[in-house]
Amino acid sequence: MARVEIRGVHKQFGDVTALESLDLRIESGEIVSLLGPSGCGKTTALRIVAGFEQADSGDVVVDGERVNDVPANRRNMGMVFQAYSLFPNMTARQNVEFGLRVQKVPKPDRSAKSAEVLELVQLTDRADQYPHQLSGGQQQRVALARALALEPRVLLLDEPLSALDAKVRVQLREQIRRIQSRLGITTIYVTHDQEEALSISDRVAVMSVGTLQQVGPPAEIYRNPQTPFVAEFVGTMNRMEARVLSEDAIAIGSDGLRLAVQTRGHRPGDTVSTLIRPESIRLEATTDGQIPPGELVGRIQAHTFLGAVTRVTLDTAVGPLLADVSSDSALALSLGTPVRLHVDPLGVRLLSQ
Amino acid sequence: MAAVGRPKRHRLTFWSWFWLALAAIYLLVPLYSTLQFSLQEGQHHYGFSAYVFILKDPAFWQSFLLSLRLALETVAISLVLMAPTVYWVNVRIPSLRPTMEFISVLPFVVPPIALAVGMIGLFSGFPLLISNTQILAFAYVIQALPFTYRALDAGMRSLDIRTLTDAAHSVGASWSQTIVHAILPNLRTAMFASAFLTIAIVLGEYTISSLLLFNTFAVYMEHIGTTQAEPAAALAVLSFFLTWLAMLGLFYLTRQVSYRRAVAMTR
Amino acid sequence: MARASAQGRTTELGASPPATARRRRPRLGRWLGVVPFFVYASIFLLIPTAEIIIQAFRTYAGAFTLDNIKSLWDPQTLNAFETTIKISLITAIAGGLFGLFVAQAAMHDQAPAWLRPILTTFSGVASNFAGIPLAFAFIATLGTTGVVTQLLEHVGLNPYSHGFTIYGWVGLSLTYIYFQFPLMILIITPSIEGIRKEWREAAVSLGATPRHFWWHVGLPLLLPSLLGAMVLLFGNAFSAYATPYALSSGYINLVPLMIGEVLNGDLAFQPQLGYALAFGMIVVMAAAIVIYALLQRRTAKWLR
Repeated sequence: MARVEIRGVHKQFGDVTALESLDLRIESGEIVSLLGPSGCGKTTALRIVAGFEQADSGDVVVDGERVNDVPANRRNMGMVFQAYSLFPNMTARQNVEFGLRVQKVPKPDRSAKSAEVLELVQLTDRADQYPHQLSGGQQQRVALARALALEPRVLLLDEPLSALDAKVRVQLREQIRRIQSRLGITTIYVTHDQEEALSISDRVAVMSVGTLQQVGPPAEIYRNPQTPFVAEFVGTMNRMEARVLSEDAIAIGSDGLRLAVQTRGHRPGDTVSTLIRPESIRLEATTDGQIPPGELVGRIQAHTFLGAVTRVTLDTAVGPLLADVSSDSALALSLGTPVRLHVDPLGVRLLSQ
Repeated sequence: MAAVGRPKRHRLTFWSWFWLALAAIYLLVPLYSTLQFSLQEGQHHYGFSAYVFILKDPAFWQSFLLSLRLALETVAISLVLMAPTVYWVNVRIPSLRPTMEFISVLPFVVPPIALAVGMIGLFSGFPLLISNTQILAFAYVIQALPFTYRALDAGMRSLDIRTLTDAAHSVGASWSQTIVHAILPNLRTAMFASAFLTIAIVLGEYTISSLLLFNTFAVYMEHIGTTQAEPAAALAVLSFFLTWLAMLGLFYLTRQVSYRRAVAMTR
Repeated sequence: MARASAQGRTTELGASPPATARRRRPRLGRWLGVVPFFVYASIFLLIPTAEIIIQAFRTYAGAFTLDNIKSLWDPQTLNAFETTIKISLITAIAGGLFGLFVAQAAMHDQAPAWLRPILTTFSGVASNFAGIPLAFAFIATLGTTGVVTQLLEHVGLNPYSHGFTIYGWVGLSLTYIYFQFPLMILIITPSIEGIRKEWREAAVSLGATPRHFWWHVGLPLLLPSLLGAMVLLFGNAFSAYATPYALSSGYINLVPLMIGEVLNGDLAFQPQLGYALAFGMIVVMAAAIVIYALLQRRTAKWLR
């Protein structure tokens, strides 16, 4: 399988900079997601790797070979588009065999290969149906099979699940993950859905406005966001300003509420952004009157039922905070109840301003 | 094709430019030839005498103004007849739509030359009807029917006429008030589009008017053509110029749409 | 385009009258709005058409007969039909293909943005330029003293010395093509637009060259549309009267011209022949439109 390197790629559309000197390496056999909001340049980057756009400067290198000047139809990269990419005048099987026909693969080998990949995406029984007879999810599976039929060295997916229903999306992404790891094919996956990116990737590359914000394994991105953008974009985050007091304490907000947390890398007196995930806050109901000084307390303002978890909005001295609690324990926490907040110090991240 | 690589690009573009150039030549050479002919004054002399001749010919003005008048009448009758009808079908009797579509296709199935047979056969017993130029306007409305219907129908469908109607009714408007004040103003583009097309058609119409022995613009043109070549060419140039104007008006109106589509294509 | 219809408004009966009054309107009342149109269409379209069809099977005295239809196979009439069909077929195919190639060229990805609006405008004008002025334009171009004829004469290739004449079927065909290919451009452009970018890019990612794509995907998808458009072009040419009248009248025999001659009393007195000819024309045109409709349905299945 191939290793892909994007080196210093810059792309401009008129006076809009789509990509600002992008550097990214995708190792052989791994699946890397390009995650970001619309307009962040992720699709542009993918299309440059595929050969549908030309970089203004910089290189795309595959297995050590510079491919900038290789036409898109000779790069041997399979691509799955967001929607509507199946040829409507062909059955699923014929779609899958298209690439093989172009390569002039003899019929028996073609049939064998197409049967094999259709089996892989579990659509053997629908092989002779036309795209308009297939559901959205089935169409995308055929598109995937079609891309894989040629045994490409790189697989590129451009928001393949965005046009599908939520449930289908979850099923299909698991199937994609399984197939990818079984074949061990180098994959670049573009999406704006962070749950999708976190669940299927070996590494996630978060992008914003043409620049790479952070690259790393999903857990790393989630737990250790390096920039405010990544912190806000991936998962929900409580963010507050604080002042570093010492190597193991900070003071949050104007009241200077003290929080015991490791401040390695920051000096006393520094202003930092304090990032706390809702699931790192534990709530304890308290009766009025028992408010120890210096402790973080709040009043329950709202509940949002999310299924297994309930997101509680709290009104506190340092501003509104979100805490995730199990829905069962949420039953005891009615609106207006005063609570004590226990913050897990291991779940707190500090970012320099 | 999407960027398939630089080496291939100029090969594709060669054929593209070839066909476009051929089209341009095919379209422009006859126009140029007609123009040259119209400016000829004997051997190697060029001037506007052919144009002067026409403009001085009372028959020219008579026929041109007749055609112009008929064109405007046709537009008026078409809109007054079709707008309420298309509205009615869209809002009240959607089941009539297939019938309407069938009727709007009939003028293609029964072209003017054929229809003339039926009309003459039917109306020859009514000399009053056939000797008045008005009959032409009535026939032209039918000829323009496919375009008028399609333009109005498409315009109304894109307007969500039902919601507009319900909204008008909810504030107490009657049917006629609804049509005149709520629907028609929004259909301006469609109406002007079909008007321009109708005018272009009527100005160039020859078949029915010649067979009914009326002296419309095209009939006059044909007559001149049998005797004098240069004025005939001048008339052809004039006619082309008028059609061009009508189409420009049409495209200026729908320019917003074409521009947007053109931009979408370049993305 | 999802339309939120008000509750109960989407029934077969159409929108109800002002919401305040729930009185039952007489069922006939709702037909009132379309009566003027149907009366008009009857007088000026439906009844004349019916007249043609009925009279085609009647003698002058009014008795039923098939003689009129049989006379369509007389040598002169048959020749007219053959010639008209030949010219219509040739200009439909030649004009159709020419129009297709031009439309394709203009819709190329690398084509400048101003190209398409210009082409659409020109096509709109040119497709309407049929009739007397067009005939004159081609006489001025390729007539005996035409501009292009004289140009060719200079180069020693005067077509007239090789048997060509603008008044013959070749000349007439060239004239027809002037409005046929722009009409094709106008008709086929939306269908070409319907060829999604995703299909082309998918084909490229699978290793296809443009030719592969057009052969396996583009052309099959476009074919019904293309054939349908050519059928329309055929009908367009078949029913043309003014252009051949000004150009070839007396020189070649065409069905529309024959009808004109009957109506003008030029032909030997056969009043019912006109009806038979018109009937024959209607049959040809009706066949054309039916074929077109069937092909359109094919297109709709794939390209929308």
